Amino acid sequence: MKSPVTVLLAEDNEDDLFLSLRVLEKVGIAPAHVSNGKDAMDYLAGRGVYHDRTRYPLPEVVLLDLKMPAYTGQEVLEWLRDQSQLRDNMKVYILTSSDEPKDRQRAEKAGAHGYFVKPLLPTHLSRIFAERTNEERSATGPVEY
Amino acid sequence: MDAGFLIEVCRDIADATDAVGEGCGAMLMTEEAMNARHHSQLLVQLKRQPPWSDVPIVLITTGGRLNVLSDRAVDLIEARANLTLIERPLRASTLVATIKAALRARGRQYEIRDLLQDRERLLASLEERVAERTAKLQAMVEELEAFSYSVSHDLRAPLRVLDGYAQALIEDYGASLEPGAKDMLDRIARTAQRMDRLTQDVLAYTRVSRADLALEVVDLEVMLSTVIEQYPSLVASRHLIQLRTPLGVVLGHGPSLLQCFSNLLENALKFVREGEVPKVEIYSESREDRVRVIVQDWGLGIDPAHQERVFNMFERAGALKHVPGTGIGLAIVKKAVERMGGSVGVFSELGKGSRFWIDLAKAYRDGRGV
Repeated sequence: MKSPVTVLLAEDNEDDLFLSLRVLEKVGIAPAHVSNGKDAMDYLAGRGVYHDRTRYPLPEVVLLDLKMPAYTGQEVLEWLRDQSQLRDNMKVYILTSSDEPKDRQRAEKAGAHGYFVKPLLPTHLSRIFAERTNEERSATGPVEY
Repeated sequence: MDAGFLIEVCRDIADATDAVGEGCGAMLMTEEAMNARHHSQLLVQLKRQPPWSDVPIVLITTGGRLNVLSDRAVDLIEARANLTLIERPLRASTLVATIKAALRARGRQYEIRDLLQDRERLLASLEERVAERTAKLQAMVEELEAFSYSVSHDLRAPLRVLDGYAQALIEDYGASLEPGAKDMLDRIARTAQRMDRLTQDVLAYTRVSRADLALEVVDLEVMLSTVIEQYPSLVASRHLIQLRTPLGVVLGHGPSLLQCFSNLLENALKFVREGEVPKVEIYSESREDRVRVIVQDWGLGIDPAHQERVFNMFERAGALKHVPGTGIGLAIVKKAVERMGGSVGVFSELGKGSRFWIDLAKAYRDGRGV
């Protein structure tokens, strides 16, 4: 049985946020949301208000925009690279309007699990779920009690 | 000294040689002093003169024939200095006049030296200014590049959102919408998409206008195969495009050629009668030091009245309501090809089809030009 996926969406543009939320809602996901890079890092680190993990659970999937105020998605990715305890149970996908190959390369070098060009589509979500299912399967593999 | 000359006395020719090295208006020497072996040293010093310098040397001789050694020395020195011979017995007036003349000649030489220095300085400052201008231009070009990149992205973002909202409306509320309303939403979406393509094409055009088109050897067959395989709009129709090899090797800018041929091929596939299956052939002709690549189709063709204008910006020949397009594709091809030093044109017959040709410089696989 698949547990609901916890998702954090980092997006500063109102319209892109609306359209992304709509697509996620159709598959039953109500993500947590931040609108800038600093809040994204605070959320993931559990700093400030985000300390309360019942209200702000640590996400399994992060959808990260690239162009954001305070810190960019690329900077958040690079910060995450050093947070090994966070990285282990989390998959970070870039969701951006940029289709520049060099932005994709930089993101993948910094450890992004995927790079999607907006708009967010059901096919993107299928891929994210497929990867999560494979993980679950291998994680709950033959374990002997 | 009575005549007002500044004199430096040297004991022998070696000394004199050193003195000349330090700077000398004119040199006054006796034949006897010349006999010494060290005249070759003087020669070396004289050889070192800068191009403008021709040191006047006044040589006092005893009259009659010069002895052999002096003779040879005189010849050698004459080759590298402005040599005047005067004979003993000396008249003071002769000596003074000769030296005055020598110093006058030297004065002219100093004027030349100063002029040359000024010219050097001018050239150096010009070079500096050119370098500065080039750097400024380079900076401007980069700024424009960054500007058009961000403009393109900033223009495309709201278009994407427009299209997104229109699609979302249709998906979420389509059932409760009247057909007329859905149709209008479709039109909104299509218009947003068209605007997006326009923005992309304008960006492609500005890139091609300004980019540094470094020429390289391009294998036409490899390049065209790449175009067909890698452009999503073409790969589905690859069975309709035939390459008649060998096509040849040219000098061109790889990425721009990919853009050009993708535009030509997309056109060839698009401009057909409704419902007709397009057919495209690409072949080449060798013409002396050029290669002509031809993209032939059997589609709608172009009215001769329009054939000249078809490469202009936003020009779309005829009433082609059923064919989508921005009217920039061929303008991009023309701009890019011309910047590569080539030329472009079309032969066409309305209703029969078109042959778009691109002429480029022939090359050899080892990188030689013709």
